[in-house]
Amino acid sequence: MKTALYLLFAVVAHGAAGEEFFETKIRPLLIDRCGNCHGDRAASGLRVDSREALLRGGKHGPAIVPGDAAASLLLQAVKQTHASLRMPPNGPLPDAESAAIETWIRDGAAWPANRPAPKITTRLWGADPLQPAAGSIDSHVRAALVAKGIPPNPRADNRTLLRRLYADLTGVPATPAQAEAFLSAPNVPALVDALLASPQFGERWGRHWLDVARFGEDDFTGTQPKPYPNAWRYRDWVIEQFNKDLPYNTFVKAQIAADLLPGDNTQLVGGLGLFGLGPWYYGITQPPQARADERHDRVDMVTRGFLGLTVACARCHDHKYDPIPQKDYYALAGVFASSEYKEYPLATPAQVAAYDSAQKKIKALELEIERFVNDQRDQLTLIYARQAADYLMGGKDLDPIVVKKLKTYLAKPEEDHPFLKAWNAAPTLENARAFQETLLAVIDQKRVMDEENRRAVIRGSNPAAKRRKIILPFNYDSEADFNPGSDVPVKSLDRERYQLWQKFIGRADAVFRIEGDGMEARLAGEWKRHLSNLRAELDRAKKSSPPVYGYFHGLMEHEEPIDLALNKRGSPTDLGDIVPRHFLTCLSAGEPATLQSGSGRLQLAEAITNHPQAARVMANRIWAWLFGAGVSRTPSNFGLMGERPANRPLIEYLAARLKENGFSMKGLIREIVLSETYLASSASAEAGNRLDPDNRLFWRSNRKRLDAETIRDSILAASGELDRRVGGESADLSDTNLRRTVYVRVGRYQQNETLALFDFPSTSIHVEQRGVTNVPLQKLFFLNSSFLRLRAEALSQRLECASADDASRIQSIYRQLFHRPPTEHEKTIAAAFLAKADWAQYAQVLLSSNEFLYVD
Amino acid sequence: MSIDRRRFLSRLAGGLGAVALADVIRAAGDPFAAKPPHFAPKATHIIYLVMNGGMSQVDTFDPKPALTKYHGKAMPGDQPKTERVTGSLMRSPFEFKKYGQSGIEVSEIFPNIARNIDKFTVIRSMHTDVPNHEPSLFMLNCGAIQPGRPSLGSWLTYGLGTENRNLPGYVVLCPGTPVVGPPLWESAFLPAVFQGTFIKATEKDPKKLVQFLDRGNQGAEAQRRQLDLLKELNTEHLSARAGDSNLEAAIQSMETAFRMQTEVPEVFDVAKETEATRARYGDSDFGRGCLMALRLVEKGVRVVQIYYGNSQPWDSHEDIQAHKANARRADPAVAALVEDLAARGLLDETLVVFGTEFGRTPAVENSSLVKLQNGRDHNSAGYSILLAGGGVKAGYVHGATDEFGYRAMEKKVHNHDLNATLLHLMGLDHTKLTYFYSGRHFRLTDVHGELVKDILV
Repeated sequence: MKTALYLLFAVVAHGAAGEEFFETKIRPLLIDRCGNCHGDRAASGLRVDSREALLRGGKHGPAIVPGDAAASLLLQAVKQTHASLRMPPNGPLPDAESAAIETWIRDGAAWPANRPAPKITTRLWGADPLQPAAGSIDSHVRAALVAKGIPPNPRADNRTLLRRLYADLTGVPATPAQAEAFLSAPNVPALVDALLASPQFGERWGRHWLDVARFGEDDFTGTQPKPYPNAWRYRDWVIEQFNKDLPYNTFVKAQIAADLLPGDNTQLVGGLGLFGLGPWYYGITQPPQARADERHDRVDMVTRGFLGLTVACARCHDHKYDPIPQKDYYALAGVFASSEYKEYPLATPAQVAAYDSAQKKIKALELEIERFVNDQRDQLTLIYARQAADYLMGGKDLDPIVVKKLKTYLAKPEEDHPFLKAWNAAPTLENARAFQETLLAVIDQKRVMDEENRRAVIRGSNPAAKRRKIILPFNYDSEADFNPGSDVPVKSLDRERYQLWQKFIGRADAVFRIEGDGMEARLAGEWKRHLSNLRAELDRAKKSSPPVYGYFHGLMEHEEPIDLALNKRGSPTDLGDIVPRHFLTCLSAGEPATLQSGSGRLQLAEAITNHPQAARVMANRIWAWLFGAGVSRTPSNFGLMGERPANRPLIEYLAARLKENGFSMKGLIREIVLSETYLASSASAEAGNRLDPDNRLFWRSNRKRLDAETIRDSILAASGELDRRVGGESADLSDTNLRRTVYVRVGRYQQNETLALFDFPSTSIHVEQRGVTNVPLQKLFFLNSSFLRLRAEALSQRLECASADDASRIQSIYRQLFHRPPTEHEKTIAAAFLAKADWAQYAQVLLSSNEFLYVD
Repeated sequence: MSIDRRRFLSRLAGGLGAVALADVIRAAGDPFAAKPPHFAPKATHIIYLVMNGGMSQVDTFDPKPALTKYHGKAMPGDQPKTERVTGSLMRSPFEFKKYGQSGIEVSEIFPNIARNIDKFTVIRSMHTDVPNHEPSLFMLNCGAIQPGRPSLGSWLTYGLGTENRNLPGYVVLCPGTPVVGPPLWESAFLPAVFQGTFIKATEKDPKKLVQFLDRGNQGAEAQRRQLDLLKELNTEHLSARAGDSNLEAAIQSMETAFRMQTEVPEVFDVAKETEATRARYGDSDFGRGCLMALRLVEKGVRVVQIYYGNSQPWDSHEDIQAHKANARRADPAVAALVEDLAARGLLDETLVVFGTEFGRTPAVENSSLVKLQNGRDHNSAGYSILLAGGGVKAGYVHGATDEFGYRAMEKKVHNHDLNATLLHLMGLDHTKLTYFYSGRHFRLTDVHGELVKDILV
């Protein structure tokens, strides 16, 4: 009966949605949309590569009921009408596709017999080879718009383009003179070339990259930030490469493996800061865990940053969605386990040696001084302790400071000094002497015990067993005991004796202890002269030391490269099989390339840059930085859970152009900003609003709020105070720091509150893209920050100097901030306002206005 | 926002009513707009008090007579691995007594909490993964032992928004900085606005507590004139860009910011409370922090977290007597906070957590790192915390440790389970409060967390 029914349906099906329909509409759809999880992997027990498999279904039951589309789980899932079963996980299928499935099932779910089903294996949309570029940006954008029936917006007016290009390419607005020059003779290509050639271009675009690179100038451990003094050199290196237009493939290779590149690589090692600057987790947790967490960051940075793949998801198990087995994670992590921290000096070896030996001498002298001072202090304490009875009885020739301290101590409640009970009850010389004897006995006991304990620690510490260690910054030994000495049991005084010792001898403020200047004032003769001689020598050593040399924080090869064992469930203490270092399986045509030469870093860098996925990811990032949204809006996730590009041919074209132009980033940026798509107006339009309200197909330009850096830089530029010097050491954000925001010190321990207020992202993890939020706390910055008030005052002073009357000043502030004359209405309300307020208040209003903070 | 309006909104919280929806629409681009929870919440605010450093269970809320019996002797059986080496068992120097109708035993160092013990659930079976401060503080706050995950407060404000957009949604108070520091209240991959607003609890001028709140010398009237001009300019700018909700929201935000300048300092100013009230919290920065938390919650702040003190005051490796000095400050403040929340009708909707990153060993520490052997090492295998208010049982003890207080044994509660339960009480399903990042849906409890149903009312 069952068979007969199927036959019947098969016949019907042939006449309706038949084999051709299946092959053209259904099979590709099943492969593309479902195959990643429901092919070989058979997620939830369901496969979609045969009719039988669909009829059998998975753990939720049969996927299709031929002839009854509405009752078929498959249709309910893809239309997402089912209460809980919703597939694909990233949103419903387009209507046309679910309609095709509906027709196919309704007509009997025909599946050509006797034709072997092509094997479905999981694949990534971005993993295919790149075809040569054909067409243009506009032709690809327009083809998609025509298909949807959306007319593209016309070109924006020149003033809008001027503001947009300056913001997007340099992050600093045009000066009135620059604006005047362009608006009187508009030549967009010439302007673009000039902006791309300006040093501000690298500052703007370098900062974009620093988001990707999770650039931070410190890490932390316990309560302390650990600053990297030369972190800014990596930031400057990035800026310089954007300005020099270093090809993207070399840019990537330099950041992963500059030290291993053939030829002269001195211009490239600065890129190694990508990993040299961590994040390093030091003693935040036990060493195996901390090192494993660091490798997690490295794998995440490399794969999301360069390849748009979330390989870090595969640390604990095979990737849930993408074809990334757990072993691939450890294959890459091994590359970083085989590398270690290295500082690349920017000085000759002789200079380095001279500096290091001077520092050694300084350290030795400091230690000697410290020892001498501590010895004298302890001697002095003992001297007083031997006169404890005299001090209690108030004898002659006593040290007044000690007398005072003793009096304070004795005024405290009884419970604090139980050994003084007898003397308190009867303050006789005898009782005072008894106390002194007790005190001296306790001091002696403590001394003997300390010595025994010291020996116990030496005995108990593991003698330097041969162990593999990795050096981190600050000479931090990666495998050092988490807490040296913590596992050695020792002895201590009982609580009462310990308290006695602490309060009379041990604590910095103990009764018989005098430190620092007080102690030194009690030194005389040879002792005094000796100390001042040592200090003079230290002074001389410091003065004669050569200046500290700069260096790049980077990586180098570990002398013993290793393959890591797979960590079961991601636990570094539960080890599985050794995984040889190799490249990602899903991006390899056959067997993945091995990464076994040294650490494998250079091979990894080459495998990445040779793969078209890298070009697609970077082309999409560049697009996103210009438009405020990528062609795929998940720039670091080109996997199944990422967003498929709304216009696939566009992303292919952009990637091909990047590659064909020798990976010139400036070249691609130039081509994009000269396209009509980029130059279009951001105005809303009826058809576009209706058919593509999110502008996924780029029928208009996106209106953008300036980001944290551009807001601050624009304000400084407007007030005429912007310090345009390029490069150099970082400085904290402050009212007097007038440099571009890219030069503000940013840390991982403490995020800069003001920048974070305007969505400056975390510096601890790779940033896919920035958010844009709108909260009232942001507006408090415009109302009350001293920074804005100072800039408004500077701006108004400039205007007051430049012109004599309010009318012309209003003219010039509009030219300065908006590159346009004020309207009649704006003049009127300005004049009315100025009748009751001063110019700085007026300037502050304009600097806070939406017209200033948004770019059309 | 007035109290009435706040209450109105919280009554609507079970489903998104018309008023709240309008709020959401008006606040386009405002990530703090109130959002509907997954189900009707038991609590709409949370005050999380962290006794940073590791509060000992056997000296506070988990009495163990066996420690007195075996004092000075080795523990029978094997000891769990803790951070450092420990010696024989050590009795608590503090006395325990039964209090209240519930008869829950509390140590003498918490007399005021003891008086209120019938308002609390005591969980005696807490455990966490690692006996080191940093990973356990990350676990407590961010649900993972490594850095880089959003904190509980960030998740809550991300999931629920805040009831009062004139105030920060998530406030962190500490007299100083706890170990680890700012990464504990960071938003990580959640949008930056969800990070905690840190307030140094030693600052006394309420205007200086929130960045850029202080209007300085300019008068309100002059500033209002500026805002009127700005509004006119922005409205004109908007008219040529009609329908851009971001621009509209930016105009709204500016008005809100203007109002905040008068409302916020008022809320933060504990001097507005009577002398008698202030006295009950004790003269300490932690006490003033607790009183501030009361005022903030009253005005609709979603999450307040208070660290007891700078660095890690409860880390009593050398001398457990240090707990007594800490308790002298913590005890009156916590008791007064719970009493006042109850008196002002807020305890039903406010969840109070009195927690710590881990407990301490029942055995004395005798490692070479301590100079005096009268203290206890870290212990992640068992510890106690207290909960009160919004949706948790009152006068109830949950779970138990072994005979000596080392390991959680009965009805064990992992920190993940606690976090799942805290989210549940706030109306959120911990498996559904997710953020898609780096290729997967992240959540506070990662792949863990079981609801502790027994403690729910």
